[in-house]
Amino acid sequence: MAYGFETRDSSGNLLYSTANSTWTLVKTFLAPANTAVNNQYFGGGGFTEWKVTRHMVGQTKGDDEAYVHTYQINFSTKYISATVPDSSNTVATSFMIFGR
Amino acid sequence: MTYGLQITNNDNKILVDSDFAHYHFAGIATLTGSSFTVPVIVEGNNTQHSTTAGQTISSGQTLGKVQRHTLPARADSNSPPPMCFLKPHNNGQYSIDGGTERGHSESSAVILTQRVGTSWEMWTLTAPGGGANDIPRLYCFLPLDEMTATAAAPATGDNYGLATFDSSGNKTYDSRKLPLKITATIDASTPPSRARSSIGTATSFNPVFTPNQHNYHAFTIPSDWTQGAVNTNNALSDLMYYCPSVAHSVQDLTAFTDGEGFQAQGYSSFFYAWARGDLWWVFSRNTFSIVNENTSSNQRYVLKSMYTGYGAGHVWKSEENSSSFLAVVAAIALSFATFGASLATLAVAVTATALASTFSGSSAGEGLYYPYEDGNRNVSEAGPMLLSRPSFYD
Repeated sequence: MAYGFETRDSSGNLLYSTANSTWTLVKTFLAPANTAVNNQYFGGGGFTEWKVTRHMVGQTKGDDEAYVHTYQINFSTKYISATVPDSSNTVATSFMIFGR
Repeated sequence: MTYGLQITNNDNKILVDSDFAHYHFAGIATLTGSSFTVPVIVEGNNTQHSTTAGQTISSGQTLGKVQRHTLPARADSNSPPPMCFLKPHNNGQYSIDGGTERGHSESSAVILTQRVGTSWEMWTLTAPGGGANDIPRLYCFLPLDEMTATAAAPATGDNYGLATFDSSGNKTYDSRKLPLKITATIDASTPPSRARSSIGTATSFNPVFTPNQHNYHAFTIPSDWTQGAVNTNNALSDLMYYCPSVAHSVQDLTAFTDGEGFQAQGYSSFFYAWARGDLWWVFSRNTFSIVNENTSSNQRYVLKSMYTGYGAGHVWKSEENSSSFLAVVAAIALSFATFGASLATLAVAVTATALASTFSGSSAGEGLYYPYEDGNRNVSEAGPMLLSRPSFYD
């Protein structure tokens, strides 16, 4: 490879290469149930594209309305805040932010 | 940074940062037990007052299959859940030809992630239509300090590679433990706002909900899918995706009937009135699959986002009164009006004994599976689908 980063095992087998890993995870945080989380800094200097995934934790088996947290994100200042769409039925949400 | 290691590419974009707990391969989750469906709740207080024979939910009502997977870990209440990439059984290969889907429709998603002790338990929901063995596999990723000590330890004698540590001495990256590699992403959206394509009429008392509306999203073929592999479907044989289910939907249908009659019992003969309220429902979750569309106008891959039935039921309540027709109608109308508006009301209609009986022996948790009235939640909150390849970790 002309540039980038590779790791190999002792046999020379390729384990990791930036050539086939297009997105880098830069931030994770857990927003508790029914609770807003403000101003989480996610860094990631140099990245220009972003993806945010959300994962409900502990729900839903079937009897709760199970709202997922919504969020507000500022890609310039690199802060994200998780908001609560319903004060009593918002489940714990795991946030992951990826950049490239 | 004042200490540690940061690796950047030629655009100064960070690839590895010792301050960040990178996700590494924690193993394939272990399947616990067999697939199951959530038991359908069928409960009412009187079976005499129906206009037709339909005292139950239609036998044509199908639900998806649920599978439970377990991943040993070092989880506590503050732990992040594992990222579980889903590899469909049989590679998830099916196609669209002339508008008809062919092959197994193995739309699946992780619908529940919960901590059990220090381990994680994940439930997957897979659309009906495939075979009994259509069970997806979950390739799971965690930070090194969230894995079990055994999973986090490199193989004996494997002293070759790169590791980083944070300021507390916790290992944050280890090239020997297979760091997560994301090869591509696909934008996903949830199915149409109403998961409703066909419901029988109320007069039949035999409705069938088919929450199979879906969205097809065409996407750009990832750069690591060679054209030859795309043409032969082989691109899907080495594909897994991360796209947790967040959207869900309830379809329900209500009916109200009443009538009157005469009971001949000699001098004790009497007129009577009756009324009955019925509620049917299906609770669905968002599931996904990758489909090869092969039509005269399109030869491409699409991400299919659809609803798959998760729970269902039919409850009813009837009243009979020989003294006041209006009283019985008012009584049933009152109880019927609150069906769905209050879980407590529905719980009264479905007794604890009946509920326990319905779920006896089932792997599903006991519940009504009717979380709200006809509608949906989290419809506008679709996340991206992240792609990777199981061959990196097999």
